[in-house]
Amino acid sequence: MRAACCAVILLVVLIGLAPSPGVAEDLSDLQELVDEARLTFEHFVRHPDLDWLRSHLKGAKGLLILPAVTKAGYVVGATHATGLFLVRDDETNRWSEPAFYRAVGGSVGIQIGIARSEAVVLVMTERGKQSLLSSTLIFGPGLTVAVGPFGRSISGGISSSLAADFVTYSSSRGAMASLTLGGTVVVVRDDAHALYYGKPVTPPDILVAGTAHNWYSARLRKALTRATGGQWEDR
Amino acid sequence: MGRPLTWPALLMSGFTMVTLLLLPSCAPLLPLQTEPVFAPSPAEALPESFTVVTWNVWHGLDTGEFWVTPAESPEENQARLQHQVAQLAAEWPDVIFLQEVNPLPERALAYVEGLKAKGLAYRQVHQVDACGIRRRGGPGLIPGLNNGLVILAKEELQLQKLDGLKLSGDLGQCESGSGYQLEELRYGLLAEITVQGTTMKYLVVSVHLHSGFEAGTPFLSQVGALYEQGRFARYPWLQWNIEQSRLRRIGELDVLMRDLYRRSREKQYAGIVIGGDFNFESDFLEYEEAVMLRLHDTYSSATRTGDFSTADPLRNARIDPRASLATPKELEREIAGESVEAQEVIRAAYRTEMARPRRIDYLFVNGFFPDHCLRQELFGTGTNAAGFPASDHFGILSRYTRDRSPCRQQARPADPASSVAPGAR
Repeated sequence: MRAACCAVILLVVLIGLAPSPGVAEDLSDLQELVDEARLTFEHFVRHPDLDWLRSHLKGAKGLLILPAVTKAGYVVGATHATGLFLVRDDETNRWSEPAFYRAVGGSVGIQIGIARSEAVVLVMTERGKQSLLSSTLIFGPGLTVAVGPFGRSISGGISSSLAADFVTYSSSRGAMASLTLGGTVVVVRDDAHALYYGKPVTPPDILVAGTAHNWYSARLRKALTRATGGQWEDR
Repeated sequence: MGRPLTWPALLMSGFTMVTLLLLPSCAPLLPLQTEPVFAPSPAEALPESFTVVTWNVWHGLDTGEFWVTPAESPEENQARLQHQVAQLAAEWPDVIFLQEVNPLPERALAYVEGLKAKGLAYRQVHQVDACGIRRRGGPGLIPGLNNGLVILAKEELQLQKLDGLKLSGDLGQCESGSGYQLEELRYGLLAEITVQGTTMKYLVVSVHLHSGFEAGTPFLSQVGALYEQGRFARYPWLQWNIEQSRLRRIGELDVLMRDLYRRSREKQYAGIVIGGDFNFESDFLEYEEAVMLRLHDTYSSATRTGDFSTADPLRNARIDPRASLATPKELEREIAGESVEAQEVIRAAYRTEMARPRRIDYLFVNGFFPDHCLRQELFGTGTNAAGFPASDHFGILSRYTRDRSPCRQQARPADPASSVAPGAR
């Protein structure tokens, strides 16, 4: 018991020390998270071996982008990530402004060390999208998660067998890696929304009603809109 | 990473959630404005005229993968410096942005001394971005390598360095007289000037963005057509390689502009002017990034004549013709499995690409002398007796005048770049 507690404390300290672009200290930190999310998205969507992702992004309800996923472990493991969630308009193929989230998870097993990676999670169903509109989401029974297919010329065919709410892609130093979401808790960052949009807003305000705007997200939204065949209009 | 969700993990999730619930109470006060804020001054409050130059002055080195060697004799190097100083003195610009100044700090001081000898008083600030390994007060591991960015400004503009901001590269840190560098590092040199007779301050920035495997639209179109014909199977990987360079430059622009906009929120500035070697063309993704970050390419609004290819192998004898013969290893790797005939077509396309004039040096602004007439010309085109210009790049000279009649008299040429992202400003 004592060893487990020490391990937990150690992990919390280690994760706290790990640099993360999403810890909101001022507006620049949130802008950095938006920029990092855009680059993470570009790395995945332009990768020659991710045909499935490119072709199925057009059918996704939303996209959760996690530019910095930190896993730390010493028998007990913990995962921490900050990221953005955007939803796609079915009619126009345009993407919403981003909502800010934080994700934490844990595991037990043979593990030691710290690893950094980046990930994107395609939200493929309305149920998956609605779950992220609530203030807290726990990945568990009732929500299905699949690891996204990797390789060229597999854009069709596999889609029917991937009837999951969420499809994940993860990469560590350019190499594809796995991302385990089971048990991960995803929490909305209301403080970040207030800072970024200049007023208190909720994920439904940002993602559904579209009542919050920040010019700084335009490059990220344009990249997503382009990738899904939508027409971007500068405003 | 083991089995998911057991009791220690639940304990940790609970702990983290309690922490998260407490965080909002520590959140800072809401900003009143999330847009970049500048207070551009009316033309009457600004000087009658103001001149800005950006110029990559060439470090004078042959660069290998791990080592560099001098590409010219000390006498040639000094003669080139004097040729540059003479051209700068002839225009007497208010602000000068230089890149590849080598070695620092000596060369920056040499510009100041050279201009002083012609009766022109300047201040300098600098930031090293290529240092190899250099111990303070001692020689560097790679002799002759300590080059980087410089800003020169007329004495009365009270030039002050704000930061040498690292834009990309994790393994290394370059200071003025010391540092270590285990990979390519890129910096932005940030400073401020105060316009004479006023309290108005401008942010002034010199940059030199990442240089990787460069290839523009003509080359990509040609080899892309080969891919469509089934003659270049690994084209997507070649494209991926090129895109990595482009994404790195986008990341560098993002870091720079976040920092500049943070400064503009914390302190009132009248505007920004950024000069440098950006290593991208106006039809690249990076250019669109700059425009969407609220930067204005002065080329698109200036009255000018002729083309502005700042890297021009056809006009600049200093551009090494050997560079167009060697194909980069990234390209050789991707074409290795193709037929000999396809390989030759791709290599020929690459050589043609390297011989193509390109506009890759820019003066970007936001809120900088918005109501003045702006005329622009290519700078540093003068040659020595042997026909060589003073650098392998031409620079850009922007001349702002309160009198708008020169802009009315000379119609502005059509600008293909101005059609990129209309309305973004």
